[in-house]
Amino acid sequence: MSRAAFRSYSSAAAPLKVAARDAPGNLTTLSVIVNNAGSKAGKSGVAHLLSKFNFMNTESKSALRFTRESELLGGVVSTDVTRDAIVLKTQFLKEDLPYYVEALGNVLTKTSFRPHELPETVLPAALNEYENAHASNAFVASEALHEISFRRGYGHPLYYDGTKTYTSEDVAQFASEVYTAGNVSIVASGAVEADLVKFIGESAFSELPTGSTSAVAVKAYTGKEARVRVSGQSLAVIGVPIKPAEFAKYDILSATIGSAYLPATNTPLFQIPGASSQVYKYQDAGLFVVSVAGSDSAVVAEGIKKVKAVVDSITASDLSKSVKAAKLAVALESTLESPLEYAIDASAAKGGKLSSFNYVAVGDVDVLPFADEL
Amino acid sequence: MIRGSTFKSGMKSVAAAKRAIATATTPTKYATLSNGVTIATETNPHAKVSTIGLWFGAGSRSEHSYSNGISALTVSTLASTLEDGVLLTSQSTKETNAIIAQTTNDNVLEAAKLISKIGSNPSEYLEKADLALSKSQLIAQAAQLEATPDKMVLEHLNASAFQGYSLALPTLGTSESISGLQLQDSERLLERHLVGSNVVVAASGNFDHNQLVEAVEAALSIKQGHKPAVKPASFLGSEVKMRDDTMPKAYVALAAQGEGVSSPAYYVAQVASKIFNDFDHHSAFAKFQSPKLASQVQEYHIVDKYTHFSTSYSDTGLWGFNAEISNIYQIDDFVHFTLKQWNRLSISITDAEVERAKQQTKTALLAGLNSTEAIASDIAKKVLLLGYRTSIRESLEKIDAITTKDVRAWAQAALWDKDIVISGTGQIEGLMDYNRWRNGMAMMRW
Amino acid sequence: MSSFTSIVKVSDYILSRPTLSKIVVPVAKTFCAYAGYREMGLKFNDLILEETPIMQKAISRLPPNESYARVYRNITAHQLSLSHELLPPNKAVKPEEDNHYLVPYILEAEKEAFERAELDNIEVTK
Repeated sequence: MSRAAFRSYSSAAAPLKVAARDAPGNLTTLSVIVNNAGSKAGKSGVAHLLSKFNFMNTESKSALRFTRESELLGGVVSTDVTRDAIVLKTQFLKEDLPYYVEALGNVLTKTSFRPHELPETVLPAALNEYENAHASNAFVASEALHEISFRRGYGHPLYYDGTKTYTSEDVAQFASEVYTAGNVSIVASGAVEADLVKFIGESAFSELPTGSTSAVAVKAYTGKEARVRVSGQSLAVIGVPIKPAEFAKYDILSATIGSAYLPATNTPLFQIPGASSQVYKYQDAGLFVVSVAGSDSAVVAEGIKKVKAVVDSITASDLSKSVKAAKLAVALESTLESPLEYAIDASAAKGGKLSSFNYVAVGDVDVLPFADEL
Repeated sequence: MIRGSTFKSGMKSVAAAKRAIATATTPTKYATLSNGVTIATETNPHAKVSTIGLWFGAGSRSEHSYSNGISALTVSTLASTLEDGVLLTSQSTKETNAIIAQTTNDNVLEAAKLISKIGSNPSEYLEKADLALSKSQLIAQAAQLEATPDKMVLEHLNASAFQGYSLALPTLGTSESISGLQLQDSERLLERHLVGSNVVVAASGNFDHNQLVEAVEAALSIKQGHKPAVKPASFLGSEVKMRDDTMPKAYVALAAQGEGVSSPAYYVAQVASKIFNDFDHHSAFAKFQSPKLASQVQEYHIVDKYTHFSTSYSDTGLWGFNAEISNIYQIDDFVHFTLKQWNRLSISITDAEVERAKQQTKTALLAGLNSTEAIASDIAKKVLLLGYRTSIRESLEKIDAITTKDVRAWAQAALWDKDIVISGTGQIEGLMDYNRWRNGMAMMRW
Repeated sequence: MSSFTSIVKVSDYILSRPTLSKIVVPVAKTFCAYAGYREMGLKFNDLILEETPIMQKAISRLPPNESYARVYRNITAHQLSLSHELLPPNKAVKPEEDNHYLVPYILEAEKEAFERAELDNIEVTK
């Protein structure tokens, strides 16, 4: 993904990537993205636990004091793990910028990782997030698809599942590896860049160790199948692992057949109950996904066969008509934390037959078809 | 400023921070078309998506129980497609409906033309569209809402509070009422409500205001007419319970009558609800949160999640909480502690709590405007329901001006010993009856 | 009730004054030796009243091995009390083993409670 908008500032020889834009209104959104620290990195689940340790006790301030102060300022903070990164997001009134820059700097450099915080606060929050996510069969299918498509790295489970025991030292160790100046990028909307850079220079961000961790090597596999027998909604999912250079091509294909970002009734996939498509985009890989979901597994089984026929029947002229729609879908998907800035033009409208793909069936697998029956 | 050492560390460079505040807020630009339609736009140079929509006053409040769902059905039939890079969607609330076009910035004039074309000649679009398909989709949406208990209790709360008035009708209708709807119902609705003074075109994104106004002026023809009068609704203390022990939890909502959008106490009610704010037991921050209610319920896990809300319609509103409780033997503890905290609003709420709530109200107000669709929607709804929209800066100033005395005065007038409405579903055997909680709205001594 | 934070403060003060500690430390050591809890297999920290929220929090944060040892000492003391016996001198807790294993955890829990009380009663100054 293009990061052209970022500028690098060296403070204490550590290059921090900072991008800020002033925006109308009195709100600032300030986010810290720790690249190569998401669930693809390290032992499975540790990144999720680390993300829940953010904004806990630091050497300079207790979690209680920080939360209370932040609430008094009206700010909202959140911390999440993605497959690529750990994302710390803060939103607050413009005049409080220095406070939150300092707080975020302290999180990255001074978190104390007290042993009791793990069982008392971090583990229950992490396991609850895991359970909530897995209550949805769509998430279960997505996890299985990532596992068979990438095995390691992007194939790691997104959340800590409780199967391995980690201590607070394990998490602290992982933090010391990934919380480095080269990994961190800071984005802000509603902040003056010069102010932001100045505050960062005065904050604990300048104490971040230099260096960066390298991205995890990506190896994609196709022709794999996974079946998960669970109760509830049934899903059949076809996924194609793709490279970042192919994002535009699959965005156009997705917009043509019917994208999850463009809920419209005049697309081919809308005619099939429960069908939708999406392009998962990561730093070094992606997944083009078409899925059918529904409570009636027979309908899903029939639907996924139709979906495959729909994708295979898309012609070049269909695709070139959808370039504008694909641009809209990408604009709707783009966020401050993960901006999508690659160009989408007619040259990318080249289709993509589903010749080799991965397949996941979740739910009533007695009825859902096998990959070679599609 | 907060006393003590609390803030010193963060406040080193206040001078530099002040510069950040001085950045301009883009003003909303208004224009009135020759046919009486108001057009309001707000531009944002960073927007990647532009939104333009046509809002009109109608919504489920304009319906009868036998035509319930017609306004939602009409707009979802008119706007649910993707036309050459323009995504048409619809939006329905109790008092407004909209057809909304979202597109990339370079395409915004196309979107304006498309919206205008649909708005000028809706009957043609309705006749072409597959009404049966739209009906089945809307029925599915209504069923989905009934199957989502936390949303369902709120819809039922509203229905019980304003029973006997059209404001009580569910926004999307019910599967029975939707299945009986016909094309003529849509046409009758539009005939009455799609008139100049009842329509607002709002847009937000990165575009040129004048060009957009010209495009809409040229393409949009809406007949003149007066805004249909809205019958006032009155609040009735009542309760509605649907006990269902097959559900995993209890879902309870309880509210008093709140403030309408035109009420002078509109922001006071919002600040009062932020004093208790939201709570999620499983959040890592749960045990650190400021509200006293949060500390109480956290320690004994008597609630999984609660949110406090201040919902406002044009002339009235609802102010209360919505909670999910898995500890079903302590539902009464939760409701009791909450009502006792509500009582404190009238007698002993502190300056610190009000100051915190004010800051949180301001951030929530600003953070809610997080997409061009949200901004356009906010502008249009305010203009439709209120006749004007206070600028963000003015809203923030109004919130800043609120004092502890104001909150207390509002609570004494709106909450203390006032009727309430209760709605519950799931395992609510432990939810006590109306009179028990009605008595909780005041204290004999304190 | 005086908090452990204040007790630790006082004892630190005493230890920082050579004259004062020359008087107090031997008295304290003799007191502990004659108190007799070591012959019951207990450490001084085992005697602290544990039915308070702060103590519960401190005990729950002990590392697993410390927690096990604490429970084992309690059971030993119960058994000795039941059978009206004392441990033989070679099995009694030695003065150098009688460490303040729990005090750091109590201090941390007290610090949190004090901070919470302070923040719960924050005031606005204009």
